[in-house]
Amino acid sequence: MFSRKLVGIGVLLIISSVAHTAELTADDILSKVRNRADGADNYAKASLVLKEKNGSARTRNLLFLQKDYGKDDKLTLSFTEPADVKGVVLQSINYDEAAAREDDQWMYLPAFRQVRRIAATDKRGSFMGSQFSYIDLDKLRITDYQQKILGEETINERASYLIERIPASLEVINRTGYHKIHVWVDKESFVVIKQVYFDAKGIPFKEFQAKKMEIIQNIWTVTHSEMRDLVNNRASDLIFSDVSYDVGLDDVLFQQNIMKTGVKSGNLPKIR
Amino acid sequence: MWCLRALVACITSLSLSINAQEIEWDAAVGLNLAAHIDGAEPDFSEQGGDFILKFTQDTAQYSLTGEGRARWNDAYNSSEYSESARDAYEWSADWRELYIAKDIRDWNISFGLQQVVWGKADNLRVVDLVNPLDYRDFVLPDLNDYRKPVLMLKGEYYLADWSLQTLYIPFFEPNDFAKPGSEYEYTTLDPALLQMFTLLQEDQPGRSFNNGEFGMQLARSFSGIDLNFFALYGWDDNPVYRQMYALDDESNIIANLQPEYHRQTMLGAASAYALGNGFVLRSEVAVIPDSFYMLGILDAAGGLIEQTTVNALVGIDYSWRDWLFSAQANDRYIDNWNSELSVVEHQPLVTFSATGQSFSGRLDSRIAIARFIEESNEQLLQIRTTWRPDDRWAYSLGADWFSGVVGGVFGQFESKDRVWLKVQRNF
Repeated sequence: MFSRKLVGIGVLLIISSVAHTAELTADDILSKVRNRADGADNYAKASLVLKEKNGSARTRNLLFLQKDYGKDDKLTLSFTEPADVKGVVLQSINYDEAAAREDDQWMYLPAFRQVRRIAATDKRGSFMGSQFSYIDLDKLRITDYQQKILGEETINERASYLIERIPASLEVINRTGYHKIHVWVDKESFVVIKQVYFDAKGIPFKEFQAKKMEIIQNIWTVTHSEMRDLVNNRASDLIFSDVSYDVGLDDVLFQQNIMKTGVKSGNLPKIR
Repeated sequence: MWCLRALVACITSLSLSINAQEIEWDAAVGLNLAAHIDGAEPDFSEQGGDFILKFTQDTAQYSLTGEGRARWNDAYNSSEYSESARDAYEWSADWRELYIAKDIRDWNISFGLQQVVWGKADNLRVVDLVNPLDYRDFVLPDLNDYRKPVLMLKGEYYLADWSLQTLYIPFFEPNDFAKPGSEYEYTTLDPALLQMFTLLQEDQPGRSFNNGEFGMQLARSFSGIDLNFFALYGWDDNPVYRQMYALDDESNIIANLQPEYHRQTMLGAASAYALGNGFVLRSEVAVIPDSFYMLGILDAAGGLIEQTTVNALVGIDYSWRDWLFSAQANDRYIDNWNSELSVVEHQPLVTFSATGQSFSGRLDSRIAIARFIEESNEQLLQIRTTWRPDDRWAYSLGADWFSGVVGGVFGQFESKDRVWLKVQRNF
């Protein structure tokens, strides 16, 4: 109940802040994106659809589990289908941006029955063969970039801010692979609804679009997004279903043993 | 064996008593072909297939996990191989795992045939000594494919930020060496020594509670570093050979070699440390204060000696986009080693591997080299690539090259370089 009140207060704050948009800087807007109320924890089923140019598609299903630990948050992604990725689990701890600490990441591959720590400094790698990179799954970081408002545009009938982000250091470029990003932030919800990523020559090579947004438990949620490679025209969809916030996810779901034993029904609370 | 049969029967009846729809299963059928490329006979060392069935049953009360494997290799239907090799390897089936697990208070308890992997090493074993191995295909498959599951009672528990794993293995299982006369028959004993002795039947530990193996792992992750500590009171999975002498009726000396297994204690530690810039440093160390070694000389006292052994590994991983590059160095130290021991003082080994994905995860590629950096330059080079056009089909192509001296770890198979092909259909 208390957390619902918090969410309600958060929504009210967001609504009141919209009235003062003229005073907002790009940093303010992106801070609102980052600090947007999204519950103390989050449970969802997700489908990662890898689409080919010829229209064929491969789908990877997974459980998406996320929980806040103070200003840090922990994420567990557990793949359930198809057979060749079943049992693969990815776990990470994303530290508070102010702490300036590298994330911790581990991967469990059932073929090796071994939890491996993986470096979090290069997040350019493809997430399970999709057009999403590991960096695209991270929470937005403000201080990694210098940003300015380029203007306002309407995207899919939604008024949005267009913000240009330039990496603040070479380390950020090496970690993300992005030399410049254009970000469209929905003015009502402070949700990122579109991003275009540029290479070193200033050529756009990848585009993110929020295809579907829903209000779930008073929280704006992107339930369908697409990442498209503008060079080879391959695209991947990330589709969420059964999204629930503040479900009381057990700490055990974010400990390393769960990667080996797998997420069992007994580990999950009854999802409302 | 009766215990295994009872376990299978118990788990099967339990499984059948629950709605079958709660069982999730996956299956795969594979066709395998491997051809010698260096003149060894027969032309094909593998001509067959395999069938793998995996199932899980997840209920509110417990979860059941099973994986069975059946293998057929018609290449063993050749006079080039021995009868015992043909009997063992032409058709075979095994459980890769079969266990039931349940959360009891704060413990996750599992019982059945299980595999437990300890440590941070990549395809090498320093502290990963819980399960024995099946060397029928030498070390060519992934370690996971030739690790033998054992009957085990295992508990996992969290003590604040530490995780505790305890295990008890009631029945000893040794490493299985390839059958005499098979493709990868491995010579563990000096042939000259065998000429002088009569090899007796193995003397395996009896099946009693006191002969069980006990293990414990304590682990914790800090920001940027993982730490693991291990203790295992078990058995050495490899036999040592005791020299036994007697006089026959005509006062001739009878010299026998008695293969026997010894208790050993392993204390170990492992760590993984994120160095930054894409690097992860891994390390493992195992101390075995009671390793038994054979003497390479005739010894009326049995020819065995107990020494402390330290085995250590350091490895470094580098991630670059969709590729992982790994290098490892491994060596052992035998306390008070002397030239009378039948093993060399050091056996430094280095490995390098590069594993990556391309074409939206459809193409997996791996190259791996393992090399003993001593005078003989023993080396194994493996290349493998797998193309998955969709979720059902996988086409793999690979090659294995051995080099070294005759009788060396890798060199003994120098004529058995091979290329192989596997087609797999998932269901």
